[in-house]
Parts: sequence; C-alpha cells; structure tokens
Amino acid sequence: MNDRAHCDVLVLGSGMGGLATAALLARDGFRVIVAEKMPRIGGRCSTMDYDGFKCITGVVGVETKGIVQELFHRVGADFDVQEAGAPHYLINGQICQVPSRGGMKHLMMAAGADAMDVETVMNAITGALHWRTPSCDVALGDWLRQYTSNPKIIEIFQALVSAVLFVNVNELSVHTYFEFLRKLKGIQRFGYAPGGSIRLAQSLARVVLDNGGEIWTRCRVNAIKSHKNIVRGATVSRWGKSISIKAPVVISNVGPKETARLAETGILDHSYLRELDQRMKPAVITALQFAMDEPLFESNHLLVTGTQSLNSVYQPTMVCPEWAPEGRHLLVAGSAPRNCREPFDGNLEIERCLADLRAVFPDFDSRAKLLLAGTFQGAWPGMHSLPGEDMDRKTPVINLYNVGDGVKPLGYTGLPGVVATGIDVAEEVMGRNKILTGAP
Amino acid sequence: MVVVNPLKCTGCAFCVPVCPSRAITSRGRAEIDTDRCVACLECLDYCPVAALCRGKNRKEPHE
Ligand SMILES: Cc1cc2nc3c(=O)[nH]c(=O)nc-3n(C[C@H](O)[C@H](O)[C@H](O)COP(=O)(O)OP(=O)(O)OC[C@H]3O[C@@H](n4cnc5c(N)ncnc54)[C@H](O)[C@@H]3O)c2cc1C
Ligand code: SF4
Ligand code: SF4
Repeated sequence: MNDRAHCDVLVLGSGMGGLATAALLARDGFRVIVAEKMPRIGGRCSTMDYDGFKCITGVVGVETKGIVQELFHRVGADFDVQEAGAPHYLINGQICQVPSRGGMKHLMMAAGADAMDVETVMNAITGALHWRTPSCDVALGDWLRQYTSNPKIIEIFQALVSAVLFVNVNELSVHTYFEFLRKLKGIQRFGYAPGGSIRLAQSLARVVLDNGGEIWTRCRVNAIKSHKNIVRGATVSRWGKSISIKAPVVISNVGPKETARLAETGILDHSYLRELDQRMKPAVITALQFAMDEPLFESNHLLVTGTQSLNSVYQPTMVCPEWAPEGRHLLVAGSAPRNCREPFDGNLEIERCLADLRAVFPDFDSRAKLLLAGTFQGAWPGMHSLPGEDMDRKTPVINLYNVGDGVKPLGYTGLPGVVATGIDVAEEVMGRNKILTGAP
Repeated sequence: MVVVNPLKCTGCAFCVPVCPSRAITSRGRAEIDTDRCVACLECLDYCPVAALCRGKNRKEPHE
C-alpha cells in the first residue's frame, strides 16, 4: 500500500454516525474513505460473539418507523429489524403492557395512583405538548412534583428517561423531555436486528462499498491535519505504516473531545474548547449480559421501576433466537447511577445492578449466568453528551465536522440521534459542494 | 504479556470475548491473568481507549 491516499470525504470512525454519513455521500457520488481503528465496524452498534451469544457493544433495541428506517430506505440499504411489540413496565412487581393509546394513564393507574393525581398529571402533559413547553431551567422531576406527590408516578418517568435518555428525572430538563416526546414520540416502536446489531452497520457499509467507497479497519487516526484553519485530511496508521490521507472534507465520528485532541487543540479557538469542557458530560451506563436456559419473563423487554439503578431488561432472543445458541437465551440488563454527575465506581454500579436483578427476579442467580459486565463512561460512554447538552456539528476548523452522539439534535437520543447527525452533515456537505462546483 | 492501564480502562469488557485464552475478566475494569495470557495481542485492537499495552514498560504499541 502507498503511504499516501486521497478522497473527497474522509470519515473517521465506523460508528453508525460515520457510516450513515458515508453511505449518503457515497450514494451522491463522493469518493469516501472510512478509517476505523477496530477490526470490526459499528462501534457501539456492533456484536461480539461470546460462546455463541451475540453480545452487544451498545445498541440493543433499534427504533423502527422513524429516522433510522428512513435513512436506510433513502440509501437503499436493507433495514432488517424484527419488531419487539408493545413496551412493558414492571410496576409493583407486576408486568404491565402499555396499550397503544392512553399508555401513560394506564401505567399510572397500574402504579396505584389515585384518579385525581393521574388526571392532573395528564392535563399538565397535554398542556406542555400542545400549548406551551415548560422552561429549560426546570428538571422533569421537579416539574412533575408540582402535580403529584406520588413517588410511584415519578418512578415511571424515571425508568423511561434513565433507560432511553441515559439521565435521571432530576437531571433532565423538562424542555428536553418534551422535545423527546415530540421528535421521537418517546420511542414507542423498536425492534432487534436478526443476527445482531452489527448487521445494521454492515448494511450501511455495503452501500459505501457498492458506491466506490472504502472502509479501512485496523486503521487508527493519529492526527487531523489542517492548514490556515481549513481541514486537509488526516494521518493514520495501518499495518504498522503511517499513511497520510488528503481530503477536502473530514467528518469525525470519534466524539467531539477526541476530535479536538486529534485536531491539535491549539488550532481550535479557546471559547470552543471551553464550551467542550463545560458541556460534554458523558452519559454513564452499565450493561450486564447473561446466558440463560429459560426466559426470565414472558416479554422481550421490560422497563423496571422502583429500583436503585436497574432501568431495563431485554430478552432479544424472544424475538431473534439466533442471538443465542439453540434453545438458550440472552438477557441484557441496563442500569445507570441515580446521579450521573457523581464520580463513577464501575464495580459498585455492577453490584447495585445485580442486587436489583436479584430483588426483582426470584432465583436470579440460579437462572442467569453472567457473561459480560460492561461499564460505559469517560472516553467510551453510553453517549458522549447528556441530552440537551450537545455540541455544534461544525468545528472551528473549516470543513471539519463531528457526527455521532455528542452532537445530536435536541430531543434525540441513541441511534436515532446519531443517524440525524449523519443526515444533517451529509446534506450540508452536498449543499456546499453544489455551491462550489456550480452543480444544479 | 499485556497490561491494563487502570487510569484509561473504562470497563467496557470488549477485550473479554476476544481473548483466545480467556485470560481477561472485567468488572468495572479489566484484569489480566498473566499465567494465561499468551501475548497474542488480539485484545489490543479491540480496546476503544488504548488501555491495553504490551509488556511492563507501559509503552503503547499504537501510539
Ligand atoms: C451499553 C449501551 C447500550 C446502548 N443501547 C442502545 C439502544 O438500545 N438503542 C439505541 O438507540 N442506542 C443505544 N445506545 C447508544 C448507542 O449505542 C450510541 O449512541 C451509538 O451507537 C453511538 O454511535 P456513534 O456513531 O456516535 O459512535 P461510536 O459507535 O462510538 O463509533 C465511533 C467509532 O470510531 C472509532 N474510533 C474512535 N477513535 C478512532 C481513531 N482514532 N481512529 C479510528 N477510529 C476511531 C471507534 O472504534 C468506533 O467504531 C447504547 C449505548 C451503550 C454503550
Ligand atoms: S494478549 Fe492475547 S492472550 Fe493475552 S490477554 Fe490479550 S487476547 Fe488474551
Ligand atoms: S477493552 Fe479496554 S477499556 Fe474495555 S475493559 Fe478492556 S481494557 Fe478496559
């Protein structure tokens, strides 16, 4: 291989943000190279084979009938996701299915809230959705406590925002919460990718390759190069060689902080660096994966209320049996600390999650064998920023963009958020290119 | 032999399933059973934060 290469667009990282952008631009005729340091693609939307179990690296549940599916459709990629069906909650030890209409009301009633309380909260939600969104300064928990003193009602909201937005009711602004309800409808529909979440990444990668793009794995980006504040490309190492890749546009999927580090912070302006430091607080989560002979409960997914840190349990094998060896099941338990800004103790968090699982499911230890205990924090977090605390997708270096979960639009989270950044940046690049080349 | 930099390791456990000799365990932070490690270096490529490095001198092969 040559020690020099060039392309129209260089994408750093093959997470779903990078691949979404790469697929869109490759389809539009740009020559794209994706540089990925790991041997496998997908980043936190991938699959690790372990004893025949398709263990997750991040994404378990994939939003359906939304922006992710739209993107796949737009680039002609196969969107193979099996619907998981209606969500279920565990409330007071009982599994409650959420009906397609009046879900929140039903859940609050199941929690034993009195009818007056339920009506007051429902009216407040309707008002906030259809009339006036409450101010950014109020936390969702405080806002709810104006209408109810019932902790079980607050717990229902806590389970959802902790599992899906990776933040607690007392830390999430009510404004961001209602944007989430508006933009993503609270993610009511989701499913699992047969064969593992990596299949989604592979499906987008195929579009890149079929349209003349390249994906280089085991290729670490060491520095982003720029001249007079305009990006020029990057230097990477692959197979022990250093390669300089020239590109007029660089799209980074490695997280805004790492992008700044690779771009040699000195050349970025100081106010940007200060903003990075102040805003970028990683969302901290824990995912425990277990092998089982029998399912623990009858649905494939439960949002769990009233625990110290456990918020959700998935049994993807109820929908996609091939995620485990024949006749066996995979269980994924997700948890997040009740204060996501306090120093994180991974071992303690794992113990808390295990204690919750034992309290919720009788005989847990004899039914589930721990495969992997993963904590996601710091430089490799649940998400690079808490919802509503994202950075701009443009960096101070011209033609250097960020995509991924540190730059998601308000109201978005996880995969839909990441895909939204890819679409936004790809469209911006296509638009600017038309201006520069005079194309119609 | 491979060592874990405890200041960098985030505990994701990505290194655990790739180890052919089952030398790695992780509970909030990875630990390597040095008796089992055959120094194949496979785990290094899967660590997202470059917390694994070769030998005792903490020199990171990727940096
Ligand atoms: C345990 C867990 C469970 C989750 N569950 C869900 C879920 O069920 N549903 C959902 O929608 N979301 C979920 N999320 C969130 C979701 O996984 C992430 O938001 C999303 O996958 C992030 O994608 P990304 O494109 O921003 O970045 P990443 O997936 O982090 O991709 C970045 C890529 O860049 C590569 N890279 C980094 N540095 C370099 C370098 N120097 N050179 C080359 N390559 C580099 C990395 O190896 C990686 O492949 C979960 C996250 C976690 C951690
Ligand atoms: S070097 Fe090889 S044997 Fe040693 S811990 Fe890493 S993967 Fe396992
Ligand atoms: S892959 Fe790296 S960060 Fe993750 S547990 Fe192993 S050593 Fe730690």
